[in-house]
Amino acid sequence: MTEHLTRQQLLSYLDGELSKAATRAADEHLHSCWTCRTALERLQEDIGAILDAQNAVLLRGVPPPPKPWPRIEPLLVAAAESGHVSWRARLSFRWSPVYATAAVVAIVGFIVFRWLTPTAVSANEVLRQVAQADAKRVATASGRFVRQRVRVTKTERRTARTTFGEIDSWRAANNAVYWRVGASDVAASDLRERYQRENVPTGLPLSAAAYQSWSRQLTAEPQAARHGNVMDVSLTAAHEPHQIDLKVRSDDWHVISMDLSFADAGFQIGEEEFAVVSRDLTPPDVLAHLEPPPPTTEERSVASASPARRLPSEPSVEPAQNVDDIEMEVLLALHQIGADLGEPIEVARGDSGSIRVNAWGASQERKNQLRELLKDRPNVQLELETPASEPGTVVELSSARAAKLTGPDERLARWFGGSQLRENFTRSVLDSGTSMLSHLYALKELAQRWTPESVSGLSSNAKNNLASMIQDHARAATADESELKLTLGPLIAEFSSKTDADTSPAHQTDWQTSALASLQTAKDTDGLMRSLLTTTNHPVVVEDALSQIQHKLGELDNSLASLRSSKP
Amino acid sequence: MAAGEPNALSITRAIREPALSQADNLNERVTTLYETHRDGIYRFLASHGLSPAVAQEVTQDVFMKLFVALRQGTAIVSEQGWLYGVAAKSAVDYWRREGRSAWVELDLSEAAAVSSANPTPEAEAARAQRLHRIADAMLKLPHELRLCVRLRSEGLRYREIAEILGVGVTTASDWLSTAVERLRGAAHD
Repeated sequence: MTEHLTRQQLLSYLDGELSKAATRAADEHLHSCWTCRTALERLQEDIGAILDAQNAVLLRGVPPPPKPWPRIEPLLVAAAESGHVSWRARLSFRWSPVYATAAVVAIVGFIVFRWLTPTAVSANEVLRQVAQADAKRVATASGRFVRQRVRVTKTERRTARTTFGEIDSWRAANNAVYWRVGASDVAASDLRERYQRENVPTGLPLSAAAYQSWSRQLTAEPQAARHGNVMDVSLTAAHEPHQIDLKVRSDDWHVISMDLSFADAGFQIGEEEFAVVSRDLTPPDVLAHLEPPPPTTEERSVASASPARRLPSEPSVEPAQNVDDIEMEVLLALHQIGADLGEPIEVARGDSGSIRVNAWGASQERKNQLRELLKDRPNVQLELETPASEPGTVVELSSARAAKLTGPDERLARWFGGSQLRENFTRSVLDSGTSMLSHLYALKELAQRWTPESVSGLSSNAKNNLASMIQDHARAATADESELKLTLGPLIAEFSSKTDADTSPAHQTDWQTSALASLQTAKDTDGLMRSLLTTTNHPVVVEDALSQIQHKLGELDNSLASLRSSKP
Repeated sequence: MAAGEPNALSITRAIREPALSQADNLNERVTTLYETHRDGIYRFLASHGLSPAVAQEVTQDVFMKLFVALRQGTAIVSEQGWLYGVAAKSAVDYWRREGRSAWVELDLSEAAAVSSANPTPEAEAARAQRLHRIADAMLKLPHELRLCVRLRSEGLRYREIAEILGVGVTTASDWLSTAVERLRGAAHD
């Protein structure tokens, strides 16, 4: 190596991050180069100063760690035991080596089968989850940018020649998008042209907007299969590309690659990098594209009409659009960013066919998000300013009422074996209950707003949006309920006199009735749990409360099952 | 069932949790990691503005999550990187729930009180001023760059930092290098 080492190479050398070959070359160079050796020594000194500054100045104000730390072993033992109680209860027979061998063979076989055999899953469900996760992922605040760098592999059908390229795409909070493609990058340029030619919104190349647009004329139901922790979704379209294959990571519903099959060529688009970065870290040429000087009035009207600047998730509001449909679009947009789970955000009819979104009490971050989300919707009024507040009423707990407050049953305290364990258990149970209630309250809002009569006036697209939101909330509430049952299981097994929960089949009712019934049952369950586990003025007998909780959870099973199977 | 006789539970766990069955020491492993890294994780969380009580609770929670992940057979290449990744996410989640984001903003006038082994009062004052400038520059770094420096100073490798930040290794290396250069610039102002 004859050239001097760069600062980055020196830092990587010090950090032991260079490859073996590069380290050897750097060693040789440093041995013979005074300049680089001195630069390395200075860098090392400066890193020492940075560490000193961090430890002696910045972290000086950080409160010291607790001494002594609480032991973690009891928590580990409790966690291990709580997860295995039900197994022990079920396994009451003695084990012989023959059983053991058979069990090993069966379990290994199952695992191999599970991991090697594709498992069918609902493609629509996968696509819905992906769209929802994508909406959250790209929802950035002003001054921050989403960057997605993808590798493009193009294979020509006639010659089977393969070329590679790269698209470095950026998206701003105002939906402005910039694709950086090398001038000699044939594969990436070709793909970009196809996106533009087919009017696929030039958001990020691997995004919900892109694949929804590519697959807008499906000829068959999409198919999905699970391979380990990757979902494969196949879509067949009426026009080019005839085949679209997505690979989705099942743990966070992130699309990691998309294959587009055209008559003359096939493209594989694989994600290399996805990040949200601040303005400071965004290259100037990207900023120049994403934050151009304010356009003239004329330019603005042209830009707003350009389909390439719009994402499908944004409504293309037409003058004759049904106000119910607009409201549904707003509700869906709020749902996609998780703003419909009990936050102080109200959606109501405004003046002259507009929709009013009131978010006076929302957090500043949420207000910024709403501003970005709703700014291009002409028929939506966003209210963020807080009116002059009236003096609140201070509610004091009377001494007579306070005297009635009762702590949890002593037997429970003994069963938990320690206050920390009881607190953790209580927090876990109440967290699940609160999360479940937030989804059921959101369902109640939908049920009260969208009565069977008003649903009949919705367009089919708006009905689909409504169905999607109902399913999302019902599934989330079911997951919370399952977690609740799992957590409460050992306690119920210990104290409850009842042996079975209510397992009678669900009655088929409309989704509105099921939603309200689920909420009422969940509220009852939550009240019982709080009476049982926290300091309360509604003391309960442990056995009675747990029996009732068990019964209520059975009822919830039924009403949630009914919700999941119903359609608006 | 006689003591020591294998049961279905132990067999199931042996299949699902090879790491556990080999030495049957998952608790011990997590306890050792807890004793080694709890102060670092706590400081990391506290430097994100979490109160001592919350930082302590979240620290324990991070190790409980590690325990659950290992018990479920999750392959974890670097436990330290995993712990800091979960801690960083927990801090972000915490502040998201609280409706704001925060690093600890400190009164840097305390920098003058930094003790050192410098032989003369002048040299000591110069050093304190230099550290003050670096600390001030660090507070002005974008969040990502600052996180890079914090994580690197906790001993994390570039790959681990990249995973935590959700970027490529090259980007993480670029960011760290940029951060170090900015801080060096402040040190020599």
